[in-house]
Formats: sequence, structure tokens, C-alpha cells
Amino acid sequence: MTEKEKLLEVKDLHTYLYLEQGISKALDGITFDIKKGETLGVVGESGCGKSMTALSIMQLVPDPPGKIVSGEIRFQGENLLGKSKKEMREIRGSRIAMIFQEPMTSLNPVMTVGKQIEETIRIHESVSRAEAKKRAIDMLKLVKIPEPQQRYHEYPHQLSGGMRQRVMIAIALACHPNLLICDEPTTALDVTVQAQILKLIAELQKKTGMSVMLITHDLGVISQVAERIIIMYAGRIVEYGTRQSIFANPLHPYTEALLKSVPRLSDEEGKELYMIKGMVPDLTKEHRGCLFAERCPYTEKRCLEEEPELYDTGSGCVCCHRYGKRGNDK
Amino acid sequence: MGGPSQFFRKDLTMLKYIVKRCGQAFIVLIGVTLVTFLLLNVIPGDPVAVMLDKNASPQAVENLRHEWGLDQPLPVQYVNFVLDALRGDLGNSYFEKMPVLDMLVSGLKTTLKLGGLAFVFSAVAGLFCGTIAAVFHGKWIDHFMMILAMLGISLPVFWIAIVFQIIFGLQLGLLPISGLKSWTGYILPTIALGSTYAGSMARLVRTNVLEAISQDYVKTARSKGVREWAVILKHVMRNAAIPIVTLSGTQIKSILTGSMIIETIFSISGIGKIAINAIMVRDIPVIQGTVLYTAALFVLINLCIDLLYGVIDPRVRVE
Repeated sequence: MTEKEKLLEVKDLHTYLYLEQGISKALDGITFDIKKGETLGVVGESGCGKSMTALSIMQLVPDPPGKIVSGEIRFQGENLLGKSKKEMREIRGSRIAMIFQEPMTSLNPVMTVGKQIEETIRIHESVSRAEAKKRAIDMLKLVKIPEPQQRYHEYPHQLSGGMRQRVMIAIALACHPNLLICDEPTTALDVTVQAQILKLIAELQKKTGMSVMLITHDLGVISQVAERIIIMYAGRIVEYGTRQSIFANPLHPYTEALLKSVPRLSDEEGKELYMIKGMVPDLTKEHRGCLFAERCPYTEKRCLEEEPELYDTGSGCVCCHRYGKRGNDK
Repeated sequence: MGGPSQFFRKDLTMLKYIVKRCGQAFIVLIGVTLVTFLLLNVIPGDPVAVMLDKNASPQAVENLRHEWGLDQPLPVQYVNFVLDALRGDLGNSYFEKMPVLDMLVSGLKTTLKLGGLAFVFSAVAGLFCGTIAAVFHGKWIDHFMMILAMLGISLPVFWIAIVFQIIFGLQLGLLPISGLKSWTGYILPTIALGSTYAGSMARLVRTNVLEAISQDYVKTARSKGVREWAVILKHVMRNAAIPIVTLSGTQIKSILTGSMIIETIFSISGIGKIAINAIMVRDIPVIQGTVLYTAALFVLINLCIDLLYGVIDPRVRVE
């Protein structure tokens, strides 16, 4: 892979939350990249740092209590962490756009959906009011909202959840971004609508050639659309690889456990669902060794003492002593 | 939405709603005047006794009672009052010897001017302080604003008025302490009257802005690249405005009530002072008139507030 193909590169990013209970290392040194036109899936359970990664890229980490402590975020070759507030504002909504989990509350209830799409266009491009309106209606058409002319004048409460998420997509894509970050875009929707929204995002991606970063805890969603997948746990990336390698041959015990806990239609009746025992560790406390050790079925003495590094597996990377041992056994 | 015919239909439902509310208002006014009338006849005190000497002859008392219509049975007195009021005649003051309506109109001008100023002052100060406090949540300026608001709410209006008179009027000699001869006369009564509401407004604005600021749509706005001040004004304030409008309604009403005290302290001849004087001497037509006016004004304010909701919040538009 050459450098040119990379749209976004995140290197050793640390985002901490300065809470009353102490410093929580919400992101503790994560490194990954997104290539042009690809879909990267980010998976993990609640509180593992998925959304924090997205907010760090957008530089919308709520401050207080959050702060990006160190690292690098290179987007189209420029380091975003060195940008001024104004420069960042110009990037948000035009070159990087984001859609959120809750379509019910993510739209302003007192503004018509048309105006909300128009707002993005008018911030980033100097177009006339009439032109912006025309483009907003075109965007509604693009995300397949029926009767776009009428819908333009409607308020969010007059639309269904799926429709609202379509409007969110229309807002995000209004200025043709290079990167679309979707933070659990379908979690709040029912399954049929979920499939429609995912299909829509994939279609629009093909049309525009943008990259998509899809954050979810739903492995079913990821298996449909992502080309490469990052598995996050407790503020770190524990494994990444192609979709094929992650699903066919999960390496990290956490990935394995996640895949095992997905219910399958082929399961025999009455079979109990697999559950990962224990809880996500408290990130405000100091840790020794592997953060997953307490919940891992393969824990050895070494796991409790030494922090594992990321080991190259050929098709990706994994952060676990089991794979390190093979290469550099002591 | 859309065609002109539909728009017309929407206007018609609005008109129907207003007519219905006016009908309800009429019933409220009847109730209010009836209760006032009954109370005036139950509480001790007699305008005739105030007017005439203690040793006045029974004949003189009788004449005066007849002249004021007080010798008629109570139901007749009340019906006469209502019928006259419907014709726009609120009778004459017993003591001022002039039509109650004229007194009300001149008093109303002053009171509305003072009340309006106090309301504008409290709204502007409350919105400004509350928004600043919310935007700088947890910083020293937030604490400072909230201490100020707490003082405004806790200190009684009459106390603030008197302290202002002593400091700015007597000791510093900067501002007049009575009457409204020039615009400077408005400053002290306006601030004294508005301070309580400025305080509660600031606290409410702060709470609502804080709540609105943490909403998802604000995150959306920021992710669109909207400037921070535009986020606050366009996305936060309009959503925070809904409960603020509710408070404004009660505030206008409280300001009108509070102006009775302020007008008395600063000797301003507004409706409040007229009402207080009338109550002291049991000037029944004037009391009835001021009560009727106040009730009508309150009903009108309530209607305006309800209609304003629809303008601000599309979710509660009249169906």
C-alpha cells in the first residue's frame, strides 16, 4: 500500500478524560488508517472508545472533561491536530462529515429539515439562498426521500426515524465530504430500516468515492459492509485485519469471544447465548499487563505482568501474547 | 403545507381558537368581578363612613347611600355594574369625582410604561446573564452571575427599592427618588421592579441553555461546521426559548402586581397606586375597575403566550 492511497492516518492517539475520579485513558495510543474509497469498520462494546475516536478526528471531544493529549491525525496529508479552530470548522461538514446514533434527537426540532441541510451548504460554499434550497431538495432526492419538495418544509417530528436518518445523511453529504464518519448509524432503527440505510450509505459511497468509517457494536452490520475491521477494547486497538480474516480466523481472544456471542439461526433451540464474563476495566485505574487478561480464557502469568504489543500477523495486527510467543519466544 | 387553500384553512382554525379563548375570557371576567363584589361587601369598612363625619345625621348617610346606589339589594347592584361595564361605563369615583375609566386610562399609561421597561430590563438582563453563565458553565463568571441572580430573587422588591433610594438618591444624589418628571426617574423603579424577575429569568435561562447545549442536535450543528456563536443563537437559544416564554408570561403578570408596591414607594401615579388608594378608602367603583382591568390584561397575556408557543415550537401548533 502506498502513502497516496491513505485518506486518514491516526498515529498513537491519546485522548484522556479528566474526571473527578481520576484520569480516564479513553484512547490509549491507537494507530490506524483509512484508505480512499474504503469502508473501515470499528467494533467494540460500549465505552471502548469507538465514539471517542470519531470525536477526536472531528475535534469535537467535549472539553471539559476530554482532551487530546498526544498523537497525530493526518487527513489528506495535513495534521488536523495542528489546525486552528477556524480551519477545523471549515473541514467539519465539508471534507469530514459525521452522522450520529440517534436520528430522533440529532436534528434540531425547531428548524425545518430543508433549512438544516441548507445550513451546511451555506456555511461552506458561497451560494445564493435559492441555489442552496435547490441543492437541499436535490439532497433529499439523493437520499430517496419521497416528495422532497414538501419534505423540505417539514419539521423533524413529522418524519419517521428512518426518514430522519436519511435527512442526517443528506446533511452530511451536502458538501461532498471525503470521509463520512457514521457513529452507530443504525443502532436506533429497526432491522428493515437498518438494512435500507446501510444500503443507501453503500450506494452513495460508490457514487461519490468517499471513505466511510463505520462505528458499531453490531457485528452483523459490519460483516455486510466493511472491508477492513478494527476491534477496540478499553481504549486500545486489540486487533485489525480484513473482513475475511477477522470473521474466518479471529486471533485475539476478545474478537473470538465477540463472534461467539452473536446468536445464530443454526443454533439448537434452548442453547444459552455465549457471554463474555466480567466487566470492562475501570480506565481511571492503573493497570499492569493485558487489559483483557481478567476476562480472557487463555490468561497466563505473563498476561498479568507484561503489556502485550501489536504483532503483525500478515493480514493485520493483533495485540496478544499468544501470537508474540511464536515469533520471539523468550 | 403547500397550497393557498390549506393555508387559509390553517388561519381559520387559528381564528376559531382565538374566538373560543375570548369566550372563556368573558366567563373569567364575570367570575372575577363577582368575587370582588362579594368580598367588598363582606370585609369591614364602609365608603360612606370614610366620606362623612362620624357625627353625620342618619339622613345625610341615607342620602349618600342612595346617591351611590348602595341602598339597592346586592344582586341589583351587581347586575347594574355589569350592564354599565358592558356599555363601557365603569361609573364615577366616589372621592375623585371623575369617571373611573379616565382614571384607569391615565394610570394605565404610566403603569404599562414602567412595567414594560421593567420587563424589558429583566428579560434582557436575565437572558444575557443566564446565557453567559451557561456558556461559561463552572467558571467563576458562572458563579458570579448565579450569586447575583440569587440576590435578585431573594431580596424583597420593597427592600431593594428603599435601599436604592437611600444609596442613589439620598447619599449619592444621582437619581430622583420619586415621580417620573424626567427619564432618569424611571431608572430606579425599573431596576427595583425588574430585579426579582431578572434573577429568576437568569436562572431559568441558564438551566435551559445548559440542557439544550448538551442535546444531540447541537453536536450535529458543530459537526456541520457551524460557528460557536451561531450554534448558541440558532440552535441552542431557540430551543431554550420555549420554557423561557412560559416564565415571561408569569413574569409580566408579577411585574404588574409588583408595580403596586413600587408605584407607592416612588409615588408614581399608576394603576397600582390608584388601586391601593381606592382600597384604603373603599372607593368601590375604582376597585372594581382596577380589578376588571387587571383580570382582562392577564387573560390577554395568557392568550398571547399560548399563541407565541406555536410560533416558537412547531410541535405545539394549534391543531
